[in-house]
Amino acid sequence: MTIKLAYMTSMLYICRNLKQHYMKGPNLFALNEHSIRRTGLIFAGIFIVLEIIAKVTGSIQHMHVSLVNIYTMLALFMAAFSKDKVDDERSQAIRYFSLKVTFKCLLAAISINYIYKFNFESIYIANSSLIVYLIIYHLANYYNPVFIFKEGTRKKNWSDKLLVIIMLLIGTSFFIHIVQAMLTS
Amino acid sequence: MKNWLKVERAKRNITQADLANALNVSRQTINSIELGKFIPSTVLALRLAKYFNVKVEDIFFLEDNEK
Repeated sequence: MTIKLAYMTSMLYICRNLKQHYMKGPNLFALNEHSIRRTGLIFAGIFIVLEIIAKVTGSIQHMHVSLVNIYTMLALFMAAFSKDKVDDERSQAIRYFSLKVTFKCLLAAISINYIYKFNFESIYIANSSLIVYLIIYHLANYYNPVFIFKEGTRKKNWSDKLLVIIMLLIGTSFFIHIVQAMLTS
Repeated sequence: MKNWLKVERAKRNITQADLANALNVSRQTINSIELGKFIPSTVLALRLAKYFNVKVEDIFFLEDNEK
């Protein structure tokens, strides 16, 4: 019951953000105020420490660990999607870049978890992706990488070609495998 | 695209923080524009030009290979 309530609270919070998104206009999320970030980080830190203690000592029941996980996610969400002190167009570019990288990492994590049957709990994947987002965002903000759009100047590099070749090989092998299976049946 | 933002700033003896405050952007944004790591939007470019009381072309210009 408590876990369901916690889920509902977190979902309501996320839905509130999505609702604001549709009401306000073309934002990915309605971002929280800057002060919320610090609160979120503090709470996330507390919950992560609590969980580590729970895991190490085994003193807290499973239900409480689940509850801590959900609130960690909520706190990380609060920290991740809050405005900078001065939230300008560069912050938005960095946010977009961080979201792109995190999304790719998340897909890779889900794929690896699915293929190798690691059976990581989905809440851990969600939490770790939010942590990855926060790290990338702050690193990008600090190290000031290049955010320049150059039209038509991008050349296909060797990694693109390699990826295409690998995808073609995988596709061909799948096709041959399916044809063989059909012929034998 | 390159720019004379640092030069314009030096002419008027303004720090990056002062300029950032005046335009309501972060100091890192001004720094990354000066270093050529971030291309500002048209709005910000116009605001910069207005602040320095010059034309946008006087601050920002295309490199030879971009023309």
